[in-house]
Amino acid sequence: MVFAIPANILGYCNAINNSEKLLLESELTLAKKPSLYFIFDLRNKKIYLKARGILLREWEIRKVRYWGNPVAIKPIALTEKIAILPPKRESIKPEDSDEDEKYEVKALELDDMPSSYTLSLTGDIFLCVKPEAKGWISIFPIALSTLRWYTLLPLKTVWFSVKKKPFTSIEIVLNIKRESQALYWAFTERMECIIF
Amino acid sequence: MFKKKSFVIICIPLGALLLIFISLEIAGHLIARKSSNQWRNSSTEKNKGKIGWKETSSMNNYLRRRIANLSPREIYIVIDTANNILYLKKGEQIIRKSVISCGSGNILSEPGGERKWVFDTPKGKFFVKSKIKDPYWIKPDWAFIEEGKDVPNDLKDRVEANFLGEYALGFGDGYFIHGTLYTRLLGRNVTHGCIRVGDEDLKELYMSTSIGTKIYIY
Repeated sequence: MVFAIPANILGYCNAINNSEKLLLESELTLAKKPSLYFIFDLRNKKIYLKARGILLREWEIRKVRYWGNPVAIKPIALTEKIAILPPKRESIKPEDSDEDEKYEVKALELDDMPSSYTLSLTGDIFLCVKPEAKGWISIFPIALSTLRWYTLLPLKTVWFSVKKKPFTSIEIVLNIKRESQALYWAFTERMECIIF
Repeated sequence: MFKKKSFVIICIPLGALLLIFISLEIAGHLIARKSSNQWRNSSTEKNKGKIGWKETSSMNNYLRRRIANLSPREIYIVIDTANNILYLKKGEQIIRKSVISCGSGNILSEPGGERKWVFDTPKGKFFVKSKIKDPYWIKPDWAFIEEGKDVPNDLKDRVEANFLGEYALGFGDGYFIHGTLYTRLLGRNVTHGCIRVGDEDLKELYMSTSIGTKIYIY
């Protein structure tokens, strides 16, 4: 009995295999360095924070959507974190610091991080991260997000096209606000990542 | 008649702007659609006919082994500064999980001076460089400035005993994992960059680690 596997299925499987090869080659480049790195596995809807190949933390992606040019599977660096209300550091006033019973914690903590923000990566790649909007109060942010997706992004696409540069926008929706804040906290400027 | 004329004067440029806007939107959507087709075709087109399935799978297994060989075989420390948790791990196994305190992220500026300190716990890969029992704290300049006191010239005026707990693990640039008197603040970002650990957890850390133990902080 001869099983004939359609050529297009074989081609598809080979493509997945080749993509994985590119991912592993890129990860090996990053794993050899002493610094931490991220892998945005958009196919399996996961974000991994790794160092030397070991998994330090994992995030689950609820939804993802893409706009613009495809992203090459290679290491790219975070250039800027853009948020409407970025976190602000407290300035210590000398003589006010006192670790006694009445001590009030004034610090930059996870709750101070924005939950909706954009990560600007090299090569004009923008990752827009936000938590999943729930309840009736989510109507406004969802409407704003939809408006942005269908009106602002096309204009940006034309702008980058005129400048003969690629443009990619990827919207990532995480489960809860705290997860989104934790990603903002962990992903620091100049850190490298791979988008797969 | 006047109203009709002014109405036309307003409508024509508005209409033109709207037309331009709609044209740009359509152009943007068309360019994006063309690019999005490339998402689907890119990997199939690039690697057609170059390497077979078997060779690629073999290469992928080799790459996975090489990445796995880079990870530490012995005990290592992972510090989550966002949630103030320290993990003592071996491979994938968590040996101990401890609530800690990490850097506050606050800024201290020297009054009338140029020096500025940002109290962050550094992020990245480090390793244990020193292990100290019954450490003394040699107070740095910022500790006096923060309290509104004069910075002493004599070293003996900087020494404080019984402040850092029973043990300390140094990982470079003046940063330590050490004990604390302020155990009620564990779980909060309150330190000047160092990592504060409770007594029991600190003892376990000190006993389980050695010089060269890897520390990953994020």
